Amino acid sequence: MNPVFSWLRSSVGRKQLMGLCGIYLYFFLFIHLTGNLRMLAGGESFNSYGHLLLETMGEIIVPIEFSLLAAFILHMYLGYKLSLENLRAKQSRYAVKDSKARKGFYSRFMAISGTWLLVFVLVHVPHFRLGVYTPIGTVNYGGVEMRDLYGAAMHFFAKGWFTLFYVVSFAFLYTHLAHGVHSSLQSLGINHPRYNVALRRISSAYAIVICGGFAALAIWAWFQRGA
Amino acid sequence: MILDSKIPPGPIERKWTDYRFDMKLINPANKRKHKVIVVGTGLAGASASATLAELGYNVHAFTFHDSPRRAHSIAAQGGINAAKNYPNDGDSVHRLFYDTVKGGDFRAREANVHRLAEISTQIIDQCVAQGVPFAREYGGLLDNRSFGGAQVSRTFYARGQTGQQLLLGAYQALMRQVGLGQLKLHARQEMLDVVVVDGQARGIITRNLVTGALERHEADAVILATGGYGRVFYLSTNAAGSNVTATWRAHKRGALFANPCYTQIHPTCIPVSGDHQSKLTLMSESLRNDGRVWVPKKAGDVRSPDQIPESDRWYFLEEKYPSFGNLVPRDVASRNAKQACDQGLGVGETRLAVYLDFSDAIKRLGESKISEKYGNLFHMYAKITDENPYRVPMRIYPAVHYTMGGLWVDYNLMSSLPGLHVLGEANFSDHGANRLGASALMQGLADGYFVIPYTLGNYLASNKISKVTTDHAAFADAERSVKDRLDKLLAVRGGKPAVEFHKQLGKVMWDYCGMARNEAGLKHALQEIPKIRESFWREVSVTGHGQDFNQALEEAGRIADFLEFGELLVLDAFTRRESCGGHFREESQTPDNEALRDDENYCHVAAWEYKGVGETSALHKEPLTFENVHLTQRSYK
Amino acid sequence: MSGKLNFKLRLWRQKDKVSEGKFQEVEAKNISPDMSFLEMLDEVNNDLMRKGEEPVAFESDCREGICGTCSLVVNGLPHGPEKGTTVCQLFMRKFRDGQTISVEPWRAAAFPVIKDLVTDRDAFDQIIAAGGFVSVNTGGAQDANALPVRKCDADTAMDAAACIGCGACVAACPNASAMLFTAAKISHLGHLPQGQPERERRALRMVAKMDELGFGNCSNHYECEAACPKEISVEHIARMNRDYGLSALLGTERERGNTGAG
Repeated sequence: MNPVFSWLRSSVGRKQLMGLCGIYLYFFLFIHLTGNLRMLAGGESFNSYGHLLLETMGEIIVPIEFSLLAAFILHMYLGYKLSLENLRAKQSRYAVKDSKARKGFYSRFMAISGTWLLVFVLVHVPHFRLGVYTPIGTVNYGGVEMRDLYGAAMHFFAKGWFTLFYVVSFAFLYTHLAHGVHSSLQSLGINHPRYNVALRRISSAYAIVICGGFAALAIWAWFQRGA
Repeated sequence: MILDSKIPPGPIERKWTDYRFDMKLINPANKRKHKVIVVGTGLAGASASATLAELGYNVHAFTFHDSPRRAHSIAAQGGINAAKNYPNDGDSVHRLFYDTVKGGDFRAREANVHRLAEISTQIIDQCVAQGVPFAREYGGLLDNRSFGGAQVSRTFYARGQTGQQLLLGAYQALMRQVGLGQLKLHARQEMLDVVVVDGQARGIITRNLVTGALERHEADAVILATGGYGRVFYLSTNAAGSNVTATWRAHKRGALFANPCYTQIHPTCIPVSGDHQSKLTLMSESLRNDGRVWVPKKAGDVRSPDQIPESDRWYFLEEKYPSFGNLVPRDVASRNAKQACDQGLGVGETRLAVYLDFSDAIKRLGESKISEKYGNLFHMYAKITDENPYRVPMRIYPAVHYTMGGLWVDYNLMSSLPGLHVLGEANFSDHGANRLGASALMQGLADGYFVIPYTLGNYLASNKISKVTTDHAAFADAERSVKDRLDKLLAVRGGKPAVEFHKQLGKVMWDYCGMARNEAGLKHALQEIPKIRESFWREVSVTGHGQDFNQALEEAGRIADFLEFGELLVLDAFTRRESCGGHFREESQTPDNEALRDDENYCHVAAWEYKGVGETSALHKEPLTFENVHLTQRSYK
Repeated sequence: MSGKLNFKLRLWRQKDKVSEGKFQEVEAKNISPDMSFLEMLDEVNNDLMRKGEEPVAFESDCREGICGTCSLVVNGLPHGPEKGTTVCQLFMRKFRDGQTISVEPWRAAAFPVIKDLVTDRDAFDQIIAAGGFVSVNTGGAQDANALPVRKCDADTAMDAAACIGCGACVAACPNASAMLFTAAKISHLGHLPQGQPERERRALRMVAKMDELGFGNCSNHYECEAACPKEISVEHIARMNRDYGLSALLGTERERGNTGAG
């Protein structure tokens, strides 16, 4: 059997692939957040950044987008498959339930938080990337015509329910990352006695920064309504 | 009957080496044709099974546990001896040999013990190669510690779990053979009889403990490695399932039982706390390296131990045995603890305990060093007693731990029943009347890894083994007798759980045949045991039926065998009117209350022949000769 | 110790592998606080037998926490509420007088119930048989001190080797995964020079066998570590994952046909 294929068929291999997809998505989230921070600097800065990515660097970015989509779908597929298999392995559950690890419920909540994030992506991408619901307008800065993503964001986030949905989604993202980031390192075997504590802290900090950052931007945008 | 020990000729250092050359071999292609049954998967059984399978024999291993790794060897804590002399403190094969013969109070065969000492070094090599994580020094080499009865450090250890690690090594070797298809493992199968065809052991009858079905298994040779009989005392450090059934049933089929009265009472156990107790817990003897044993000087001193000043403490081992101190052999330490308690100096609620105090060692080495050495033992003690041994001294009392007696075997480890070989604690051969600490693991592995693989081949090559199938009448007879006994147990339908009779038996054994024995007490026990046995068969409650997973039936069957065997143990103790090792006859002691041997009349192995339940067994004597060590009164002063 | 305790027990009764099980309620009276949990069950069983009723089947052997035979889920926790303790070393002084205690068997598809509280853990033996060993035949080993081992490696190997094979990790895992058990053996042997020649092969084969036997996937809840009576760390799992991933993708072992499926 092909080594990669048999790795993929194993429980450990699938978890590792899932983790690798996850790590790829973490990097994406981080870059996405740093880009979004340009919103704070106003429409021109934000829209120029979007233009740079999509138009000037389009030949690189579009394939990357497809790879992100693939990672997302693979991550999701493996996640659901694992959840189903685990239900089967457990067979019948205990009449009395308790836990000694007391690690909070995040880890047992991954399928649900993941499903919510799927819904979120199904809302987010059509709104901001594809412009399905409200066509994204254009603006002109110094003779360069570009999509007015900033305007679109202000438009959508002016609606309270929309902002709330985003904030709730970032909360789900937090629960997902709070378990997922460190978990992916564990699955890949990235550990060292000397750095384990640091890795754990960095993982937690990452989840807080990413989710906090996105949520803060959404709320900031909401406060800009009517401005 | 003449008991031929088949000890090879020649000087003691050459016996095993020369004999290995003299033994007949079986060619590799023919080994596959020989089926061998191994009953028991402890150190001896697992190591034998694995090694025989590696050699190419068709091995069938049986255990009544769910997995071979559960065998009670797993509970051995302290370590394993080997004459490596790594610490450069004067050890040698000859010294280990000498210490073991002397420690056994000159009641073991010289040739067997010498072979054991020779093999000891190979065992360590083998175990290290298997990946047993022995304790090491910072330089990467193996660490050693000292143990009772020796003045050199020759004990290798893996924290307080040496038995576990050695067993897992042997178990892994065994499972490797299972994976390779060389060995068939039969778990949850209890051996209930040996099948004898034309005077040779040719198979066993087992009960499948899940379905209750009786099964017949035939083989060219049968190996028993089923451990000791310590639970005849009910309370012991043995596992709940440890039993005498396999060896006792083999005894009933003709294998002689040797020296059953030699039982080891281990000095450092957690004292009994009440009637409910199902077992006693051992604290490794290694604790005596750093712990000091003492009692208050005044009887009835109820002050808490930290309130008792040095001047009011009696460190009785250090005082009586200045050269060995707290590291005297087990029998000596146990007997002295008992004597102190008999004088009213015992401590704790029951007054049946002495202190084992680590405060000096903690002061000297620091708590972390002590914790590193004995952490798991301290942890276990704290859990059981709800006391913190880093702060208060441990309370310890002797408890039954190991049995030196067992089925009689010759130098080839074959019993008096041809084809039936017996390894490890189940045989009687190497420890004499008292076993030194860290020697049980050594013997179990020596028998399994390095002795039986040679001697079994010699047996198979030099005897005519005719073809036998399980349709043979002997198998049908044996199966019928097993079934009759099980039916009889189920038919009683009395009102008492079997364990009640076990407790009664245990009390008689401990009171009259425990650490000290005398004629009147032993006579009394010989009258009591048959009474308990009779009431067992009248009143025992065995619920359920035979075609099922039925633990009540399993347990009752084992207790029924103990009720027969106990009588033989007492008879042997009664007959041996001398003190030696673990067998202390009050009639035979020196003026300062040490054990007094009678070499003129009792320098022999007492091997008993079965004559029927309630009938007096016949005694056969194998004289012991000592050519390489001098018979001396043992002294650890 | 002082006064006697009384408990209401809910014991899982199940005739055999295929039958449906249910709880039986039994009173445990006059229990000494110094009794172990199993000694308490012994008493209950003796009472049942005196009444001619079948005792509840449960397994134990050494009763000192090392053989790994005992396997009860006490109030939803494998081996009961105390950390680093097997149920045979759990004492009744840890329970409140009058408390209701539910006792269930390990529940996992790979550990079918044999009867009442007894389960079949043969799957663990099969995982070991797949590669949990060093392939050295008896005899021919070099001198034990010929190969120095760093003390820290020997110590870590021992930490992992302390596994008693009880299965509490599987019982506690929400996915009934056997990762901690398997990882402990891979890590034990992987930390020692003796284990190096088979390191790749061992990881591949043991993981493949574990998967085949119907254990769940690890999703890093770390319930196993919390339930382990020997407190074996999940760091060993990370190490196994690393060994497995590297062996599966970059290993040279399989080039000769020794695939993980073996």
